[in-house]
Amino acid sequence: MTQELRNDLAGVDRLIHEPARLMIMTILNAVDQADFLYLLNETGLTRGNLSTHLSKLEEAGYVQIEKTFRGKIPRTVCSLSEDGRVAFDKYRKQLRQIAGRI
Amino acid sequence: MTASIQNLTRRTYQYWYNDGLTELAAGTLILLIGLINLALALLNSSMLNTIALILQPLVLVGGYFAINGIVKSLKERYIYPRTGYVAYRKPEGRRLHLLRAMAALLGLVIAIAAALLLRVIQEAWLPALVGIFLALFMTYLGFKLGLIRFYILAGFTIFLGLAAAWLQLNDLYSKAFIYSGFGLALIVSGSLTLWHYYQSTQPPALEQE
Repeated sequence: MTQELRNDLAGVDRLIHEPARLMIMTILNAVDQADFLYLLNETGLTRGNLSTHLSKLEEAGYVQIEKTFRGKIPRTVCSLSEDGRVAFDKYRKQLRQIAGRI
Repeated sequence: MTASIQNLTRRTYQYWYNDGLTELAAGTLILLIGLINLALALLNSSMLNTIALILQPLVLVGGYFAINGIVKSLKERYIYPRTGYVAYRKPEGRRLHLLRAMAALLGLVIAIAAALLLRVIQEAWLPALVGIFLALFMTYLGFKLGLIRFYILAGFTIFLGLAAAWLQLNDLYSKAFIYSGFGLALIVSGSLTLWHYYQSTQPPALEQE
């Protein structure tokens, strides 16, 4: 393994690199907003698991979470923050670089 | 986790079309345009034809916005509570200008291609050309979204165009034939898709996280 590859691997954003959070970031990167129910269906995670991962991404400033109402039914809407989009783009470039070195 | 990471982005774009509502709405509008052309053909009035020619772009643009509004309302009421809400990113700034320029260029290319082709082929084959252009649009959608039913609709549209050309229908009758046929095909496709959507998804839960 070359030193460049080691550096690239060490530099990968581990917050995004976790499979469940990577799925969440991938979906949110493709849209403006998605609600909790959509993310639940698409990721196949449990409610608790999804909540935990969203909280971690929110704490890091990558995801914005807004609790609203649709009529009387609560709706939790998620979107990538500007930092989140930048971080995701950087992560994708890192992965392409790593794939190129392998 | 069952979803493939590679397919997630495509599935997210497909989601808008998973319930068939857009096809139902678009099919209804296109069928309406086809029936208007049929009425004009039967009435055979040059004044009405002129008025229709002037109003048709307005009907198309107005219809597009009406479809958007109706589909969004229906999704809000019947789809989002069932499988979730998604708002898609609208192109902004430079990307929006680029998309508009590409749309204008594409329109120009199609117009020039049609004009050049009409010099070579007989006017009776114009309906086949219309069918092919519609089919190209459906093929592009099918490729972009990875939805096979759009390829099937593309094939059917080519058949409609060729059938109209073979029947040697005049301008209004051929438009009525193609647009009504295409509209009905979209309505059938949308209905089957909506039925499949309801069969394969759960009724909405009362509360979300």
